[in-house]
Amino acid sequence: MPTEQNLLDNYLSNIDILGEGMPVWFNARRSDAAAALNLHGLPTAKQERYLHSDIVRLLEGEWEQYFVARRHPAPKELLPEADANRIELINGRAVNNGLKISIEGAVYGSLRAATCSEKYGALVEKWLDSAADMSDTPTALTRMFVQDGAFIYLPEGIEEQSPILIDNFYHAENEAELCFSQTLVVAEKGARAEVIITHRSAGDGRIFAGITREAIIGEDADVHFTELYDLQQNCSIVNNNYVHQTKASHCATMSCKTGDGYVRAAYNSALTAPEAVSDVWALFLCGGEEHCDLNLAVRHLAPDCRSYSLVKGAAAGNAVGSFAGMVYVAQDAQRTDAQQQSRNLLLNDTARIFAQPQLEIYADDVKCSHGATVGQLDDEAIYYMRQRGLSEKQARRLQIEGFAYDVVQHCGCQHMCRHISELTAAKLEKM
Amino acid sequence: MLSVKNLHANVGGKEILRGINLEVRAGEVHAIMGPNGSGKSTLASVLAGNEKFEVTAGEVTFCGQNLLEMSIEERAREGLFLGFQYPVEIPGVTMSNFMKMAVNEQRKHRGLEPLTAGEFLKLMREKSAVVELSSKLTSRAVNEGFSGGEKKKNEIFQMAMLDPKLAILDETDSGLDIDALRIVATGVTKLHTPENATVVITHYQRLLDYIVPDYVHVLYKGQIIYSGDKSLALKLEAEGYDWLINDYQ
Repeated sequence: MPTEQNLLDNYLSNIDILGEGMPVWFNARRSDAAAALNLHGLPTAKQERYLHSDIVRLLEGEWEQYFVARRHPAPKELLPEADANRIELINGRAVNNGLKISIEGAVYGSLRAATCSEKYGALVEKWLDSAADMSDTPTALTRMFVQDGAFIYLPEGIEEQSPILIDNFYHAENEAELCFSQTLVVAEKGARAEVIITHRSAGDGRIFAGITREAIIGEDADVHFTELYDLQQNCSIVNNNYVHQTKASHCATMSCKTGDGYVRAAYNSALTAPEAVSDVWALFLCGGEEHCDLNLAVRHLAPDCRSYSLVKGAAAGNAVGSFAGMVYVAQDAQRTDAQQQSRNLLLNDTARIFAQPQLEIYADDVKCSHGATVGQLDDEAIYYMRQRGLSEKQARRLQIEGFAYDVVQHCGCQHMCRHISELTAAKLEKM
Repeated sequence: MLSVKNLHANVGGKEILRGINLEVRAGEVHAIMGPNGSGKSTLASVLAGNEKFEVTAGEVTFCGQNLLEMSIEERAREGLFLGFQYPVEIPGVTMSNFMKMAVNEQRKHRGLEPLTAGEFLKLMREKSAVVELSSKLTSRAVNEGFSGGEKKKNEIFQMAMLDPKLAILDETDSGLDIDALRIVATGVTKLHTPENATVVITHYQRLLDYIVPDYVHVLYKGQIIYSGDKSLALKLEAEGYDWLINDYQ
């Protein structure tokens, strides 16, 4: 099992190859992250935010790590019909180690390329690691080993018409592989874009993917993320997202787990200037022995901001789903409007769902609400649908699809929306 | 079409139906009336196959088949429709998606090809006109946020879509204003043909001004204690049930 010490040893013995070709500042922060991991250790169940995700257990067994690019079979193109600006990553590495510019002027491609480029290096240096929290040790672990990832830069005022698609493909055969990647999205004043992030996997080997994503959303900028976890059962992902929002910015995130793999995803938003708006919709569908742990944290640090979140989970079999949501309202974040909802569906007696909504409010003029429910399918509705000729199975499925719809409808791209609906239907068939 | 013989049914160990006998032939309209708690809705639920109720004795044949052996959806696909007293809201499931599945399941059962998207839309448009149901409602979630009147219109719209052999309408008139009652009742009348049959459960004679019954039955304590023609409904409206109940006792 790679304990902290194993991981640190592996880091130290590969420090040269890890840092090869990267700027000094990039590698200096790598060693800061290693120090943070050394100091805090991997999270245990004693840490509230990892109460339902046993990272140490997830890392049990023998793992391989590769610090140079390797050949993998090319995956089938995702959403071929969509007119998208594509960034393809295999096991955390960009397939094309370069940067592209869209018609509208968005810059997108490999994080490594951006870091090393003359033009964007300073931008990456300024913003990378600025929003991420290194005391969260999976974030530090990713930073320690990261060699590549995705980079999106939306210069001031550009309105990107086609979605930018970050296609994360994970692949391992006959071995277990650890892989890490980091993504940076910088949206300058007034920029707008739709970003789709997908995670899919293939191969019979195990994968552990550690991912950190930071999004810096400038004044009046509006970025919409759609993230899909469509992983095989032998692929686990620990994904920490950090969104930093400034004045009157809007960031919407729709996240959907339809695959079988283990997902631990955290969506952290900091609303740092007035009138920033954050929307998060998330859906997880778990069957069999699956596990999904969603963690939301919205920090209202300035007055007149609004946040909304709706997390829906359905669990069947022996699956475990968990949701923890925190809304933090700082003392001077007056007139905050924060709403957080968690709605869950248990489809049998053995599945489990944990819901933990939390509010921490230090301002006195705020409107905050939170609620969590765990329920079952509505027998009356099933009877009603069967009376119209649907089979019990169809009626159950339709009801779960209806339950999921509140979240799925917030997908910004119609091709992606169809893709998610199909995956949702296929998942429900198996649950 | 429907033949009910000595039907007994329980819910939670309590006997609600205590020997119902009823014959419904094609082309007929039957009205079932009776005081609250007499078992009217239970009869409708038992015929639809609601699993909350346990049939303890009796026989029901529907178009020559043993109805009691059929699942809820088999009964529906064979052409038995229940208009719910309290239509259920199904969040996130659009009316059109729901109806498309229902219509195509029924077609599959009858060995027919599923409707194409175009054919289905045409059918929806045509049938929603029967009850003046706004096409906006058909794109919304099933019964969600529908007014009382819209929910009942929606029941009759679904009946029109599914074209059942036997429709059992459980207090379809409850909670309707005068205009909605007229629209709903006229809708039912338009759907009536010599090949199908309707059983309306109601408290009020008013509905029967539109849906003129061939037979009126009075249900009391789980039995049909009296049957007559449409004039019985008028007499009940004027005099109440006491004279019948006193006779029965």
